[in-house]
Amino acid sequence: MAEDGSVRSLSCPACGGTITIRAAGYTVTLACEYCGTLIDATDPAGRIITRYNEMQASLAIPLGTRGTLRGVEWEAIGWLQRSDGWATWEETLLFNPYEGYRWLIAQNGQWSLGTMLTAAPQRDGPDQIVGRGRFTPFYSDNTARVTRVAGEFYWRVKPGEEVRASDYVRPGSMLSLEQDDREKSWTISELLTGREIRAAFDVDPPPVWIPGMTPLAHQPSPYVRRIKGWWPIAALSFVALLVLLVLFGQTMQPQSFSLSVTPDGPAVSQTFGPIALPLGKQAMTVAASTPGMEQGWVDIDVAFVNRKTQDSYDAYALNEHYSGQDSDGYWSEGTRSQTLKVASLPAGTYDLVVDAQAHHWGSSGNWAFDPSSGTYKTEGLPPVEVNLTVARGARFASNFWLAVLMILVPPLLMLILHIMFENARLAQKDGPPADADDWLRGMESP
Amino acid sequence: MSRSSFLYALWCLAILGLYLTAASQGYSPFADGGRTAGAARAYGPTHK
Repeated sequence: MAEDGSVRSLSCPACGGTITIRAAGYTVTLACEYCGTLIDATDPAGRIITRYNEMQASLAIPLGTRGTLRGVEWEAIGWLQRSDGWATWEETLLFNPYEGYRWLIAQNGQWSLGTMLTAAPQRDGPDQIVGRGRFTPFYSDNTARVTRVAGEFYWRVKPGEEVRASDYVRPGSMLSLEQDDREKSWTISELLTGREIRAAFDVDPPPVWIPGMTPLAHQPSPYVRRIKGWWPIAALSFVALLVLLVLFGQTMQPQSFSLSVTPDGPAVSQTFGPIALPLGKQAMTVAASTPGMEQGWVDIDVAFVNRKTQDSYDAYALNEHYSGQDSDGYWSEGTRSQTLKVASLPAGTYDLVVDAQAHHWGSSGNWAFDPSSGTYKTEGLPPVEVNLTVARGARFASNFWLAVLMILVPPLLMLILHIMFENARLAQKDGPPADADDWLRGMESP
Repeated sequence: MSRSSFLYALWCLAILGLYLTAASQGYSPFADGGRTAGAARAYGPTHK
């Protein structure tokens, strides 16, 4: 066995590979990183505990690698792989002579930094309290089994070693209880950001979660931060839209016109004007009302015709009103007034051309069969007054709601992804099914 | 402000800009004007 200061090295008695002991004095068991043979580090002769003819594991962080995590320089001295039957994860033992040991736990490309607690957490019902953090049960009574091992450890580890594990989570952290017949240990694992783990050990950053992937139990939803950061922007945009709706939704310079039409009489066409539009493009609002309409309808076609170009901008209103009595009593339907909004009329002078035709419905009037047209004609009904008020400008509520919808699309998309993420995360939970509290806790920040 | 918040703020600004442009031009895709050409017209009460 060679010795150089606090670092010692020896040759693997099984394969002859050089093994460095980096935590000399603390290390109890050495696993050859080349062949996996377990060696008693406390024996000066390097006694073989168990011989394994495995190939060297391909380690993401080679043993001996040093990296600085959260202000402390750590050296990777041991590596083991564990499985609970359906999930497999890797744990790298980190060592610093002043700080002791930490674990780097890698699963599904995500990395967590584990610290063993020196005192048991406080129990509060089913939850565990560590400091100000509340951890809720997630996995319970699983059996974690060591499947592969390399490097050096502070206990006599070997493949096949089993512990019973229970895990408690809060966003970004996991509290793990591992126990066997002899001892019980608590470890708190904090999820590392891609930037942290890459800066420390130059490993690949964690993959971005996409639907179909299984998140870690303590992995916070990546969408919560966005939703929380976006809603003030959405609220501010909503207020700005309201202000714009008020500012640009006003009508001005109303002009009123009227004409009379006889029910079931001929169509009436009348031209009003001039209507001057001095500026750019603007919308026009036409309010059409037929206050005397009963048991019938009026077709009202309006057209703004540019005197210079003869371009026509058309709109159509149907005012109708019906009423009667039946076994349920009085009923009525239809509306005697309509508001039309005509978009983007260029500047110019316009005529308002109105075509209106009134019709009577049913037999309450004085009607008679007209053999020439083959229809029933109503006679003696009073003419219907059609009142039109034309004003410059229009308030398009549809534009407003379309803009609101467009503003909400990204947050709604994030919300859907968040729900999918939490569904996938909570689907792994042991015990009672996830409830509203679990969902609310998923909205908490790490 | 995070990058995603900045991009979302840009998105909202773009929407506000489009709304402002439409409002200043008196434009709406849902305006009544010009929408009735060829549209079916149904008359009479639907009361039963």
